[in-house]
Parts: sequence; structure tokens; C-alpha cells
Amino acid sequence: MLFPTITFAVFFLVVYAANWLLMPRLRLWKWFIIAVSYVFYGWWDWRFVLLLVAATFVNQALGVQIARARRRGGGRAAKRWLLLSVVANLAALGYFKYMDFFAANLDDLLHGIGLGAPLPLLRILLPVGISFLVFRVLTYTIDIYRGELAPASTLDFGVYVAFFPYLLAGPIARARDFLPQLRTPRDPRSVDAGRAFILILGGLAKKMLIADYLSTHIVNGVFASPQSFSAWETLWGIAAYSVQIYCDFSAYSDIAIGISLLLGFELPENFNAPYTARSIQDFWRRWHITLSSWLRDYLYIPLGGNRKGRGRTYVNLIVTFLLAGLWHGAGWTFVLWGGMHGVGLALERARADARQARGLPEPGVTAGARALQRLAVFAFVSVAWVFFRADSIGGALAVLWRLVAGLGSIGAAVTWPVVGLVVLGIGIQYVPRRLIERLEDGLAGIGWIGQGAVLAVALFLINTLGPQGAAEFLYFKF
Amino acid sequence: MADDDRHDEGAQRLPFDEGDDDLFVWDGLRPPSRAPGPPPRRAPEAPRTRRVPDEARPSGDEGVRLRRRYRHAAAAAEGAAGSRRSAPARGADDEWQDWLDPGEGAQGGAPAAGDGPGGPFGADALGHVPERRRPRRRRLSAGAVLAAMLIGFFVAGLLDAKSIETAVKGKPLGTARSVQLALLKPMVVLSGALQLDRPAEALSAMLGRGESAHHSIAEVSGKAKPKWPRKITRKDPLRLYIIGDSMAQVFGSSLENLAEETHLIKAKLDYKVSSGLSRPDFFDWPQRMIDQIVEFDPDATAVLFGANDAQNFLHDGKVLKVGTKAWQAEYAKRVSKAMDILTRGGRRVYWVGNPIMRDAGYRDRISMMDHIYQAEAEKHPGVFYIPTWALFANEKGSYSEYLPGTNGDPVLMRAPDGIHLSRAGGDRMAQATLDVIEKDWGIPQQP
Repeated sequence: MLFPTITFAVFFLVVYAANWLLMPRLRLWKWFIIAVSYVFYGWWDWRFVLLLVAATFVNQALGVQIARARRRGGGRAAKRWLLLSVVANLAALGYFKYMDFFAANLDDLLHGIGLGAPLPLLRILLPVGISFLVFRVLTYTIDIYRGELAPASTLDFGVYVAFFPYLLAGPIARARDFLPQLRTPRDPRSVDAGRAFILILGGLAKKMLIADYLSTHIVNGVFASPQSFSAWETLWGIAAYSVQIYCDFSAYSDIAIGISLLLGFELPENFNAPYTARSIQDFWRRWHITLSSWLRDYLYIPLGGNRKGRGRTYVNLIVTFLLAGLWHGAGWTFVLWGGMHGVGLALERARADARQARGLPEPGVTAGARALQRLAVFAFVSVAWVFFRADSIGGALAVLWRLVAGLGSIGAAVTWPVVGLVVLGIGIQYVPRRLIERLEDGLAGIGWIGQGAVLAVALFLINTLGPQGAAEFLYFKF
Repeated sequence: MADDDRHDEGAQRLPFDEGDDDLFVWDGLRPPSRAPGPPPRRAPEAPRTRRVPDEARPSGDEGVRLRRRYRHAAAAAEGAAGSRRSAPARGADDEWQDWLDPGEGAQGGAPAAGDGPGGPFGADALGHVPERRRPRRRRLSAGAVLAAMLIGFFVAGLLDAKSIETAVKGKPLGTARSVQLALLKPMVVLSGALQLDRPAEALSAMLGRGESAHHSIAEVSGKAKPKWPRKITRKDPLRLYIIGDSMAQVFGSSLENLAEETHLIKAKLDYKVSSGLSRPDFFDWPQRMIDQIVEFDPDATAVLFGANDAQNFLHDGKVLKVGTKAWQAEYAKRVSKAMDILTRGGRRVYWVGNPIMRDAGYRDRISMMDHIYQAEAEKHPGVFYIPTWALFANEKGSYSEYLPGTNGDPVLMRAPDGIHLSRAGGDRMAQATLDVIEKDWGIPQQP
């Protein structure tokens, strides 16, 4: 079920009402929310539900074993259980997501060295959101191992695994932040509707008015047939894709956070004006925050972080981001995208280290310097996105080459609406947080009738100004 | 409220809860980690990170002092006051709890600096400084929120009733569609009665989305000299119009790419997802063809339809069931009409057949339509039918996602849905089409 559809709206109204009616009977509520989440996930394919069930029982059993081993003082036993959990989860992810990629590449390799016999290349059904699911359950077992979390009841863990708002594409809520919210019923007198509605309406607007328009009017064309477009059009196409992916993904996160708020739950923030970043490091503190903090805590730090000397730090950064790329998709373009970010971060770090070693002060932060830094980061990130979006590395290079080879004509694809939406998509990130909070407060202050009216007008505008039919959210492939 | 439901831990046991050695139940000592905080609803300031815009952020020494003081306060709250190393003598930005430089204690499994009690949305997460206390935002009761949503959906529904009805009408015929239309009818009537459909009309008109001027068939053949044959040069390239449904998105862009590479063809792709010849009420392709021929003035058209046409449609007030003789006869008429339009003025048409499909029933229906295209193409001079069925079948003649590429390696040709093409598949289909076009117009084949 896609968020911006009438089917989901009806589904959500029913779920919302039942959610609060059942909330006083917490145990019953938990069974209800699990059932509802299974229906939501099974809408795509009923077999996916089996994955949720398996993930719940396997990881709960392992989590309990880890905790038990820790209690009995057996650090090594606990570690073994943890290893089993990590291997099992990653194997499941590897199978569903990377089997074909691995097999196809192995096959190419074998052909290359002269071994015939093609491997059986089955197309394995890819459960939606499996990457998010695996990362979520790993926070549970790893945090238990680290002593930061006690195992919850199977029912609670089942809710955490399946909670439908974040099920398909995040945010990656951690077990230690979500499970405590399941201990007591949420307060029905205190629904943060002001913020929730702003998030949901803002998300719908970003997705339907900005992302969808840009994708159909310039991005798809530029990436599918770069030869047909001029350098100017390609330049705007690349910028438009940067805006499209931000609007698309942050919209999904915002809507997920908003509907969770309406149900009484807090999810972590996932985006924080990423295109205002002044360094790649800063970018990753603002883009897909739950992913980058997951990578920090569960990959970068276990690898040694920055504790093992400068060279090792750079290696850790690059490895972490290569894997981040691979997490996004089974393809060399994704790995290359990750590698670019990893190398960029390592270079930034090296530059800072060199500056520190020589005792030089930080460079000035005039307004001009800040603007240049932001532009540079946006340019770097956009070029990396080209690899993320393209079908193949060759395809990405074809698009980038077009910036040089296509000089000459202007082309007709860069219309005023396209320019306007690209500027808008970046501009909304520069709106100060306080203003948005004031908007949320304002909406909260006008009471339910007023909010109903605002909802009506906003939904009407979004539907009328937006495209016909709901396009898929980009991140659903992960 | 039942008390035993308020605190779930250790309450009623699930059927398979057995005892201490149970696989799924943990009832041991809670490790002395940081206890989770009070339920978030009581701490409205804590759960969200606040970003302080650059301009408002205290810079320089004051900023450093503020952050140090804050960090020590957090550390004290953690009970780990001495464990954080003092900030290195670096610039303001670097001192922020940058997530790639977490500080002492992180390696031991304790939370990284900057990821305190509140987790990723704690006040000190990822380098955000907590703001001054804000007055708490007004909250609503769950019932009031429900009322707001019902009003919102209902009024939005009234304002948008017509466009929703149009969208539903375009769906495949069946009970779901009929039921939805029946439910929508009162909304449309009410909307009209209350004049609530006016805003939508006004907005559409403002955006220029109203019924744009359509051309007529008479305007199409206007030119005295037939389009084909003629000499194709760089200065006077072949104008190729490419149309179709969502299959044409990949095929068409591949064809555009290959065509542009010859420098002798100027291509224009015009596809519409979910469209076809079966449902002109959803999208009127014949009218679109007329309009685009008048405006773009192509020499030739490449066509790819069928994927969405295997459905029942209304004709003369009757529902024609897909596959029946009556359906086939009417569908053939529509194909013929499209071919008439596209060949006017001596234009050429390259009607591309659909590839083999994965799902058996769908495969049969697609094959039936391919036969109709082939039969109609034979009846129309200037129309070429390009079969692609066998191009996408393996050596046994059945469906395969992977097919041998140029050097024998298996290449992925189809999308996961067993219908659409991958980029390589689109290229294969486009190359086959381009070969026919080049031969027809005497364009030398590229190496």
C-alpha cells in the first residue's frame, strides 16, 4: 500500500480509530497493531509476512540467549550468540537482495576465465524494506549484547519488528528508543496533531508536487536518453534529481513520523536540511540520520572508528561507506556512490588532520565562504547521485559526459516550472527551524475544526496540482 | 482500564511461556544500563532535535564554553563525568559532537558522545544544542483529531469529487470499479449542488490544464508531397515519433538513444503509463496521435501498445469481454483506425509487437493481440509489423529473464514484474526496430 493513495487514507482512518479505542487494553492493542501491520505489508505480497514472523522469533530467541549468557557472566558465550544473530540476519539480507548480483558477477568472472556452464540465475522475490528490517532487528540484539537494553517480551518485539509506519522505508528506529514506548498506553488526550499534520501535508506536497513533477518532466528523460539532451538540460536534470530524491525520501520519512505521532509514538528525525551542509561530514549528519547513526554505532565504531590511528580511520570511513552503498542496492553503481562518499570523507578528515598537525587555525567562516562550501557540497553530492540513479556506471558516465559534449543548444526541457521547483526544493531547506515550529504551533492552536479545514484545502490543492495517479516512492526498492 | 494491561512485562504469559529456560522470554536481571526515560509524552522538549540556524548559533569562545558546559552536564547525568575527554583545541565546527569523532567511552559500548539518554532524538544527538525552553504546543484529544481528519477528508473529497471520479472511471472494468463509482456518485452530486466543484475547475483553467485545442484529422494529411520516400541527411533528418504505454518508457528511450547516435534521426518519445487502445476514456490515443502529428510533423512513427489492453471495455453500451470474437473485432478496428491516422500523408509506421510474457494467461492474451497487429499491418500499406516475441524467448522458446548477450554471458532482459524490459532489453528491442527503419529509409546501418 502506498502512502499517497485513497486506499491508504481509508485504511489509516480505520486503524487510527481502532488504535485509540483499543489503547487502554494494551495487550490487545499490541496484537491489533501487529495484525494491521501484517496486512499492510502483506498487501504487496502475502509471503512477506512470513519474513516478519521469522525475524521476530529468531531474533527474540537470540536476544534472550545473549542476555542470559551475559547474566551468567559468559562473555564469550554471549559473543557467540551475537555472532549467530548478525550472521543469520545478514545472510537473510544477502540471500534476498544480493544473490542475483553475486551470481551474475560470479558468472561473468567464470566466463572471463573460460569456465562455461551458466549458473542458475533465479529471480528471487525481494521483500520491500528488507534492508531497513534487518538493520532494525540488529539494533535489538547488538544493544542487548552491549548491555544497553534488556530483552522485551516477544509481543513487544513483534510490534517493534512490524510497526507499519516505518516498515517500508524507515526511519530506522532503534529498539532501545521504541520499546520503552510500548510499556504504557499512549495518552489519548495528548496527540501532537499540529506537528503530525504539518509533517504529513508537507510530505505529500514534497512528493506529489515537487518530486513527481521533476521526475517525469526532466529527470527520467535525462537519465534514460542522455543523448537527446543538451548540457544545460543535463545540468538541471542532475540538480533536479538531487531535489527529487530529497523530496521523495524525506517525504516518506515525514509521513511515517507524522502518522506515528497520530498513533501516539515518537520516531527519530531522519532529515535535517541536508543541502545546507557545509561539508560531507555535515551532510551525513543531516541526510538519512538514522542510517548514518546506525552505521556509526554498529559498523564504524566496531571497526575501530578513529581510535586506531589516522590511516586506519580513513580506511574505516571508506569501508563503512562502501557498505552503505551496497546496503542501498545490489549494483556496482551503488557501491561506487558509497565509495565516493567514503573517499570524500577521508579526504576531508585528512585535510583537517593536516591542518591540525601544522597548527594552522580554522579557515574563516565568512558568509561568502559558507555559501561556497554549501555549493561545493551540493555539487559533490549531486555528482554522486548520478551514479546512484543511473542504470549502470556507463550510463552515469554518459550523463556526466553530456555536460561537456552537449554544449551548444539550450534545449526545451528546462522550463520555468522545472527551475522553480528545483529552487523551491533547495530553498525549503533554508527555512529556519523556528519558523516551521511556529507553523506547527499555529496549526495546533486553531483547534480541530480549523485543522479539518486546513487539511481539506491542503489535500485538495495537492491533489489538483499534483500528477494523476501515485508514483512509487524511490526508496521502496530497498 | 484493566490494571493488568497497563504494565505488560511479566503480565499474562503467552501460551508458549514456560519458565526460566524459555526460548523467548527473558525474566532475568535488568542490566544496569541507562534506564529508559519517562514516557515521551511528558517531555515534549526532549524528543526532537532542534537545529539552531547558523546565524543564531553562538560562535567562537562563547559557543565553545556553552558546548563544554552542556557536554559536562550531560556527562554528569550519565554518571560518567570524567570519562569524556576534553575538547581538542580545534575550531568551532570540529568541536561539535561530530559523529565521526565520538570521543572516549564509545568503544566500550557506551553510547557515543552526542548520543545521550534521548537516543537519536535526544537533545544532544548529533551535535545539536538544546534550545531555550519553549511553551508546550497545544495538543488535541484523539477524538478531536479523528474529527479533524474526517472533516478534512470529506471536504477534500467534495472539492475533488470530479477528478477522483475521472480517475476511478479509468480503472479496469469490474466490481471494484463499480462499487467505487457508486460510492462516489453522491459525493459528486453533493459537490455540484454546493458549487464545491468550482475551485477545481478554476484551478485547472489557471494552470492551463483545460481542454486544449485539439486538431482534426483533416489537418493531418495537409502536405502535398508524401513523406516517404525521401533522402535522409544530417541537415534534414528523419523525424521519428515514438508512442506507447509504460513498456515504451524503456524501449522508447533506448530507441531515442540509438536514433540520436546516428545523427540522422530526430526522435520524440511520447508515452503514457497504463494507457492503450482499449480505454480511450482513460486516455484518448487517437486524438493524441492527431494532435502530435500536426504539431511535431513526423515522417514515421514507432508504436508499442498492448500491455494494458488485455481488459474488458465498453462499446456501444455493452461490455465486451477480452478474448471474445466481438472484442477482437472491435480491437482490430481500433488498431486499424490508429494505423490510418499514422500513415496519412505518406508517413510510415513501425508497429512493434510485444515480447513473450512470464505469466501464462497474460502471455496468451498478449499473443492474441500481437496476431491482431500483424494481421492489420498486412492490410495497411506503409505499416511494418516488427515481431519481438522470439527475441525475448530462450532456446526452448519459453520466457526467461536472463538471455545470452553479445558474448554469450547471461544478461538481464526483463524487470522483476515479468512484463517490462530492463535497459538491455530495451536496447535489444530498439535495435531490432532501428534496423527496420534504416532499411526502409535507406539509412546506412551503423557498425
